Amino acid sequence: MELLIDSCLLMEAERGRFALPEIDDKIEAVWICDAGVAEFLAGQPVKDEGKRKRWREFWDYLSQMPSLPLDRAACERAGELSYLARTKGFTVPLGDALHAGVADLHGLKVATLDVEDFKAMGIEPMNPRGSKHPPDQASA
Amino acid sequence: MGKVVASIQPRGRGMSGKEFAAWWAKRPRLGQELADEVAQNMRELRNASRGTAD
Repeated sequence: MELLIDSCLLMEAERGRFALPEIDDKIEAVWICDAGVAEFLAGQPVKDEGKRKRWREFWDYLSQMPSLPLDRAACERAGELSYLARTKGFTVPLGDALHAGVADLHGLKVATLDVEDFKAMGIEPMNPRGSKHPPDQASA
Repeated sequence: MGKVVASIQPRGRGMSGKEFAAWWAKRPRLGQELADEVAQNMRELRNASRGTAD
């Protein structure tokens, strides 16, 4: 199995909410995607230069991760999956839809905490917190 | 805003699970406060496009 790691999940792991490597023992390949790259860069701290310096060191390292591109095919798939969710009464965040589009196009399993959003798009994701810990979409 | 310099990303092959675990363990740490802040920023940006379907 190959895994696409949701950018928000990586940050939750950085917060120490769970030990991320535990999910990877049987994984053949691990990816992020360019939607996640955009989200990481958008989320950097704004006001404190010391924090930004620490964030840049973190990002310089994190950016070594292999990232799948947001090409036309991936964006079209993301749009189709987002529309599918809308037909079910859900409006999913664009970031989730772009991750879903890339994962579906490349046959990857998505590791995410936004389980219900991906299910609404017909994607069965992996939640590294497990069933005992429901998705926490609104929390920081 | 200062320029953010990203490393060249290898796109040809994903990391194996073992490679990823070893690589992740060696990352520079943000620290709890900054990790909380960045995670919150990313979550707010993602949820900004969440809404109610027709």
